Amino acid sequence: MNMPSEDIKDMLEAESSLGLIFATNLFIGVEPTKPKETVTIFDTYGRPPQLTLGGKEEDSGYYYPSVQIRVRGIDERTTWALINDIMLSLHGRGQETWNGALYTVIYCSSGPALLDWDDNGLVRFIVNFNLQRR
Amino acid sequence: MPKLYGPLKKPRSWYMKKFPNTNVEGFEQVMNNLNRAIITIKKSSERGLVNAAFFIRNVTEKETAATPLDFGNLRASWFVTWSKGVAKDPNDKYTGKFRNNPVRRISTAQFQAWHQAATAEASGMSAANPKKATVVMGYSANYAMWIHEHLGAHFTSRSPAAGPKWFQEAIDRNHGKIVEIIRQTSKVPIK
Repeated sequence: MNMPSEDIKDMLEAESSLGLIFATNLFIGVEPTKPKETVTIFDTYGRPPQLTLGGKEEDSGYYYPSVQIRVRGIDERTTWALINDIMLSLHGRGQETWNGALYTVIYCSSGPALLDWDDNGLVRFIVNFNLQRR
Repeated sequence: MPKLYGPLKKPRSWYMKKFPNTNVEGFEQVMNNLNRAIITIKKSSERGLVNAAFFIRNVTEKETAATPLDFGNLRASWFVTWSKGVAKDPNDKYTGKFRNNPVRRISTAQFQAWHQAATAEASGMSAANPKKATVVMGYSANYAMWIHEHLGAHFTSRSPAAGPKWFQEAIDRNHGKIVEIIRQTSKVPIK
């Protein structure tokens, strides 16, 4: 089973209308200083897993991870539009298998919201998602 | 033999007048007791919510991820409000005083003003609907959200315990315990 951020990265890359390419403008875990316009996925704390509802014995359990997606950009409106598109593309998805993990549901738990204007004057928005998978 | 059906000649209560064919007696007493029990549950549920908020606060200080600490102003800005205003935990060991933050140039007075404004607003929310138990908890420091959501940030002064999402994590991880704390005070008194 991959890190949730890894699977979310694949989901976003597969959505061609978003125009996101891994290691070009889509990143995991660390927000690079360049390019200016980036989308970064972070794994965050989720709820404790269940021992029931599992699938295979060696990988039994039902997990509640969560991720945060941070979008950095130059223009506030276009950056917000991108994070909103990301939210719309992920919110409410379910019963999809990615890299061997069945995602039963993905839903937005908060955002999109303004995080800040960073030291380089770039705007940063965040959106949080709760996931359920096994 | 008492009459078991059909209207009584002299109905003995409001309920009997309204539903003359039932002959049910003691309905008003049952309703009064039930309403009294509901009021008691509402009051005790609110107490339970406050206790749960105190519990969450303790978790955010004791467990990883803990509240990030620099000058202690974020920690000091914690508040809980309920219908009676600001709720203070008698066992609170963590809430200190506001201090000057020379790095960000935020004065003690500014922190106090934020705290006053936030608690006033939250108290209003808690007291807005007397029929509904509403407890508000959070931080009055205006950068709390930024720190909470700032993944990848380094919290040097309380490393490695301190981390982003400390508040959300405290709630998510202790979901069952929080429900149990609320349940403990929400019992119907049996007489």
